[in-house]
Amino acid sequence: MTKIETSKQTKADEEHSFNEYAAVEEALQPYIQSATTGDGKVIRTAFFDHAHIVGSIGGEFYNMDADTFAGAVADGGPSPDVQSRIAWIDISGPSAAAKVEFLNWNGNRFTDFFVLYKYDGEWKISGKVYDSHSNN
Amino acid sequence: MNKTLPIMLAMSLLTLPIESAHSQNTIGNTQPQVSIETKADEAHNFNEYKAVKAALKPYIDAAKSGDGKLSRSAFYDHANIVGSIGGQYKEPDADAFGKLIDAGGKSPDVQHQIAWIDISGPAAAAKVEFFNWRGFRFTDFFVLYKKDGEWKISSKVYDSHSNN
Repeated sequence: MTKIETSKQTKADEEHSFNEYAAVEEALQPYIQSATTGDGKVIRTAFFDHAHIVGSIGGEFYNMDADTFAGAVADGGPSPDVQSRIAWIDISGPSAAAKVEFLNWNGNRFTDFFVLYKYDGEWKISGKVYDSHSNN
Repeated sequence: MNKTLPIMLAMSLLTLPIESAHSQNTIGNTQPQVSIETKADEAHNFNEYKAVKAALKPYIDAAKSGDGKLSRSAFYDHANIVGSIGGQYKEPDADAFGKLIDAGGKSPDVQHQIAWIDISGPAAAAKVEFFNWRGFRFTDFFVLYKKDGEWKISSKVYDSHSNN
């Protein structure tokens, strides 16, 4: 018999892997909410210190660390009419990726790709790249 | 009473809403005009998948060869590689990670699969699975960015499965 024995998931495993999606969604919330409020401090909490936010706006390439990005969000101010959609989340153990779509973030259309990591029980954004569509 | 009258009435009732719907379409058209992709657009957005694959190749090849310099070339300077191995959390930058690849050495039997690639303009994400990278099972998530025509890895997180 050559069949490889695989471990059997417990009910707790099932619950855990299901709930991780909610945990990743929650980790993205400070980021998504700050799009509306323009709160730099709140958005900063979503990121690891080492995170870089990479993309271009209006022909200008930007590679910001988390602190600089928080400053840019605060400078941008509130964007009350911004709309967002979490397009997908993919999780493997303590690592994850996500895609979030934005319409009218201070007039801009953005597609964001994130990688996230769960450290000491807490998911945070480890890196982000973005597409600013007609305004790259 | 003329037998055709009810029919005419019914017909006018039928045509009225159609006409009003038509006039709404031509006068009160609120549908935004969307641009149509050219053949060049189609070729470009198809070929971008190959370009992202090519950007991942130095990283994937270096898994086998243990070539730190080659692995390093896949990353932006600012990239961090975040995960844990054997209970130890690590977040080396691209240079430190290149050295770890050198130190780890060759892994001739490593297997990989690019599980998916998603692209939006100059931004992309990818998931790559590894089996037996010096005995390890890894799942890698990447975000990549295209600057000056070249895709590079901007960040990576990983799952080392039974060895997290």
